[in-house]
Amino acid sequence: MPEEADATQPDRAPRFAALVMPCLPRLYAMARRLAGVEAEDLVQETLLRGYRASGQLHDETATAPWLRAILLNVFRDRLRSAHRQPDEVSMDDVDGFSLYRHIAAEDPFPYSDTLHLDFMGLFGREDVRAVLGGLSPIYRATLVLRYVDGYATKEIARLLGLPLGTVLARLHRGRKLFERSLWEYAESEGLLKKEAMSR
Amino acid sequence: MKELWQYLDQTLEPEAREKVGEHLVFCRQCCGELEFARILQDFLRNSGDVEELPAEVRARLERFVAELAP
Repeated sequence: MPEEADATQPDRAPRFAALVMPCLPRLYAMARRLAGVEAEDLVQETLLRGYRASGQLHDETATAPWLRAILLNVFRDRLRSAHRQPDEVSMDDVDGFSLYRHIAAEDPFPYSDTLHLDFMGLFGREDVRAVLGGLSPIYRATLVLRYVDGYATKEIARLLGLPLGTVLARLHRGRKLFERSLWEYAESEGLLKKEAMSR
Repeated sequence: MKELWQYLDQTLEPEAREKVGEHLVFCRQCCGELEFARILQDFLRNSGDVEELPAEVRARLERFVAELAP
């Protein structure tokens, strides 16, 4: 049974505040990666759950991972309720796509000896985030947890309450969608034209 | 080749991993794809470096925490 925060302890709230404040930048950054514009709301619910369960935090040096685990729980619950009919993408749509081959076929910079590197050079950090942000949350979450936050696939399965096979399938689709979205983003933002004109 | 990212991730079964490794020895196209997959992974990894908390968001969250006490 969870240990609820004891309202009769007058120092509970300031102590909780002192513990969580230093963790906010990383917590918010993780929330941004997972939930985009809903990050602040996600952090607020995390803090609320954290406060209610703060009696369970026996090792205060572990506050940051403890909060991250709560945040992932909140996020998982939201994913489940938002995607009762998961926004799965048909493999037929993306399975055959290879950005590497697509760049070679389209050859956007005909005089380049380093075509693929030049293509990736079009993207700044904000562009990559925008592309990630445009993916369906179920694919974005697995990509972010695996490649940005560095969780192992088994750990992602545990954190999101999914079978390992589902995580691997979503990673595969997510990677393909990410590759295709990079190309579409470069086209829609005019990055290819700008780069071609500067040559 | 479909398994290149899994090869990089080391999530392939040993037998499949060995087959991919053998294929990479002679397939220049797949070596290029593998290198490109590495670059894409680096882009993803580096997209998360910044941990900025905008001042107005920090202020709202601090207020939220302060109001948690009953």
